[in-house]
Amino acid sequence: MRIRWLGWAGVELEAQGHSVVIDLLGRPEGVLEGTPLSAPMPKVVRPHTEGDVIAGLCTHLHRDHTDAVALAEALRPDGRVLHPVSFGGDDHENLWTLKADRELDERNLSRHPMGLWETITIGPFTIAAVPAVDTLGDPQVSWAIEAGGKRVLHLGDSMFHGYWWRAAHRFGPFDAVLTPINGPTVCFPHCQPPEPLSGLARRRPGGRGYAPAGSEDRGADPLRRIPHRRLL
Amino acid sequence: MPIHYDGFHIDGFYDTQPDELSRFLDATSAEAYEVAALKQGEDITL
Repeated sequence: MRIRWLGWAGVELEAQGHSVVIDLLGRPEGVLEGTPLSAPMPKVVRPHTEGDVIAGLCTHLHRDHTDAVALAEALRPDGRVLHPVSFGGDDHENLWTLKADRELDERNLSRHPMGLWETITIGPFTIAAVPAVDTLGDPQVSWAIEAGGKRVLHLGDSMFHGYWWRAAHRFGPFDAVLTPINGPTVCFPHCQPPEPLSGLARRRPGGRGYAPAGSEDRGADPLRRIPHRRLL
Repeated sequence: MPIHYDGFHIDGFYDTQPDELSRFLDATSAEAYEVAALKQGEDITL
């Protein structure tokens, strides 16, 4: 299996004369178009097998991991796009995924939403959707991919979580793990307060939450009283 | 083969492989995984 890094989270895998791409990003400037946000843009390169890719895998539908234009150029006519199934919910919940979701439809790309732990075989690649979590809470998977006796795991934007044990048991060991190395500070401007746990707590006025036994303090932010070890 | 856990140490972590006993790896002397930091367009073959 040949692994090529395409920049940002983009990767191209080749095996037995076929290829898939993961989190392909073709035009970084498109990520923040239509928003008031700005940020330095990463350098990306096109896949070597552009136009003949059999599947485009998206760990999640954030625009920097799902670029419909790049996927349309990369995929061959019968190529498919795999991505996590939706959690449902309204546009407020899904604000950060609406753009990529709409663009996939606009390009008439063949979409295959994958449930957690679902496995599919496309060409020489066996592909599994492993549960994953990032800081914004939108549907996300890591992709476990096997071809020619080699296995890789692409982590997308995963933060640490507790599914590793099960993933290793079901699909490991991996020959290579493709992982983010940074820890960004993010903003989610349409969701306030910026600290989600405190927002959760305020929806339970007067509740004891997880306050230490004996505490008489029933203030508006009970989660602030959790001993740190209880948060684990 | 049943999976055994041979204790927990707050300063280390486990390396678990299917069908093998889990192994404690000390944080300061753990087995080193090979790290490949590629450039855009660069590839490796497994």
